[in-house]
Amino acid sequence: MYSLVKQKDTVNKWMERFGVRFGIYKSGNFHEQLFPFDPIPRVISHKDWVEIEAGLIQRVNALNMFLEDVYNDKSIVKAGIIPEEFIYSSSGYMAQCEGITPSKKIFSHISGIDLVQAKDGKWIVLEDNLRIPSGASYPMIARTITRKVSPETFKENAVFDNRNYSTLIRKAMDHVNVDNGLQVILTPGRYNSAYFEHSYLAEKAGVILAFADDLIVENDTVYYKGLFDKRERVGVIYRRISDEYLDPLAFESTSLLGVPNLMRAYAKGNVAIMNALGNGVADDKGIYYFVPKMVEYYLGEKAILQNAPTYLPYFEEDKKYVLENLKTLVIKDVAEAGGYGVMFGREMNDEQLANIKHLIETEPRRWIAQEVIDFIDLEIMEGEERIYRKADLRAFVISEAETKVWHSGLTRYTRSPTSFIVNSSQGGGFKDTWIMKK
Amino acid sequence: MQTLTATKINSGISSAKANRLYWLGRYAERVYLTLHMLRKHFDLMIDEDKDSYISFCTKMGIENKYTSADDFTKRYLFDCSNPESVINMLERVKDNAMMLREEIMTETLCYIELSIAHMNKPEVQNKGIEGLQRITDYMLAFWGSIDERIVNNQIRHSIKFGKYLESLDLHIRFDYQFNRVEEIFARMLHSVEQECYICDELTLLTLKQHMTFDDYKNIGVLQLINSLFRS
Repeated sequence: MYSLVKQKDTVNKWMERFGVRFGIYKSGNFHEQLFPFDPIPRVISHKDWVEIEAGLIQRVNALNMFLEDVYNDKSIVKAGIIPEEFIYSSSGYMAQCEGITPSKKIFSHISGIDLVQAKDGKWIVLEDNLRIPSGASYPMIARTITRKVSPETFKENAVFDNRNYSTLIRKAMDHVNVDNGLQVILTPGRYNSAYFEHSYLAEKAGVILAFADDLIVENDTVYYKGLFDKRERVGVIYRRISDEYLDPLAFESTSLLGVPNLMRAYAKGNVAIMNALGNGVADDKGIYYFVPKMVEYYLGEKAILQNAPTYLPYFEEDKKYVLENLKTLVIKDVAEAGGYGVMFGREMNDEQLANIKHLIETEPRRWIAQEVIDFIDLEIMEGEERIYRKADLRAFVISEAETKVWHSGLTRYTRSPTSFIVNSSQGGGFKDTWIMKK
Repeated sequence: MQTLTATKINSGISSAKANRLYWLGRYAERVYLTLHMLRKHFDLMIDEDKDSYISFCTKMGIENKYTSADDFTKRYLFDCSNPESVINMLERVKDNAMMLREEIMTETLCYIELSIAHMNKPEVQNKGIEGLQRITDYMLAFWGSIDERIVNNQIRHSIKFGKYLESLDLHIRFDYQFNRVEEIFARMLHSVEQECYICDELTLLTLKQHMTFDDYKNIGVLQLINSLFRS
């Protein structure tokens, strides 16, 4: 591995050559920047992985069952496991999806589950991302490059190849494809922060990269608009656009990114959409609290992977605890994402603490509180020096005929010595994630 | 060994994609030929005609807003705020290429990334045109990659239609001899005959009638060339 570490600059030059960037808006202007890559991989032993993999498959299966239930029978609400209010007040719940069961009953085809490893070695789930989780393309292309620049590293270490991610995506698309239509990745365009990923996955999966203007819905069927009014039926759309912008006639009317009447075609079962609309109800930070209970309810099993200890101020007992222990907890706004809306009690002054107390008392459903997990630091290279920084892991779970976990993941690290926020939009970097074969 | 890039079964071309393919070809060829033409004018500026850049601007059909040969060298080559500059031509190539990554592939797109990174280096900008031989090399590699990697004839020939159309336009503007122009026209016709559906057939018929030794420099011919694209 030493030779790979020495080749950090070479790897980053290859990244530049391949245009591996992400976009970011600063003061209203779009900038593209390289995603800083650290050459020291996160290494997960085979033994650890076996447990993580089983836990992720279990969790995503339960989440898919929950989504089918919540938009149909709502048995989990009737059974009193999840309060009704948590479903209907979730910003991710979409009443328009009631009664709709997507192709092959799969709602979350690609799930991004964020985990951290506590100092006692235990893996803990921090967040589920079931809408449009991104980031897999970065370790995928990083591996392509690191194998080039340091082949000896991979001769000496038995690591699962991670360059098959696009094949997994393609299989998931093929599995739900309606009437063997075209497979497209629908991108909001060149100025989306994850545009590199959209175009790279389209290339590697061998599917069409489509922009909103390329698609049209006629007679509740989606078509790709070919030259001179030629229409080709679309069977599956891996959309990289948020629910609310997907169809201006069904949701946000000012959206120029979506396809008018797409929702009608989807509701009639004439096209598969990956991931399904309305999945936001299951990755809501408030619903997260209930996921281990979902596992027990739907699968009759104890959850293999645990959540971080979480409190819901919605429940009086939890509210009392949160208000009394604010200084030691991390408070999260359930409506925010990307590392925003996360506040550490220990970093807040008296005025800020008073403000947040007031908000928790007046809008208890909007907040969750968690014990601060002292997760492990990973080694990273800064110049010639090895230093330690906080890092998480986004694991990708693909649901098709079976549920599979990609043998890799996106390890993001914070570049600030005092920060726990690893998101790329907030300056974080990334590492390759090695899953050992033995 | 497992296959890591899936085979593309369908490759739909929408009007917007056709537009991007065409302009990718045009801008990429514009970069390559502009550098080629510029080298001739820079040679003239050494000792024969220090104001040769003015006739370059006239032939290109751009305004001479430059105050001197030095000013022209800096701003026409490297100034990102100058919409006519070579670096901006490359940015337009990149704009289209990025939207076509799944067709042209990362290995082709990277020559454009490399070109822009090279042009933005201060040491390259200090060298002027001499430092840009590498851009020419990258553009030749780009075209080689287009030929080698794109298996879909319609995609490849749509890009090459744009390339030859730009080449025709610039060779006529720069007073090249008829036999050279005729040769490029023949290459363009070859692309049009190979599953390229974005050429307006009626305009092409008219152009064929005017692509003669006596007529080819007429302004009407340039207008016909620039009306050939349809999507």
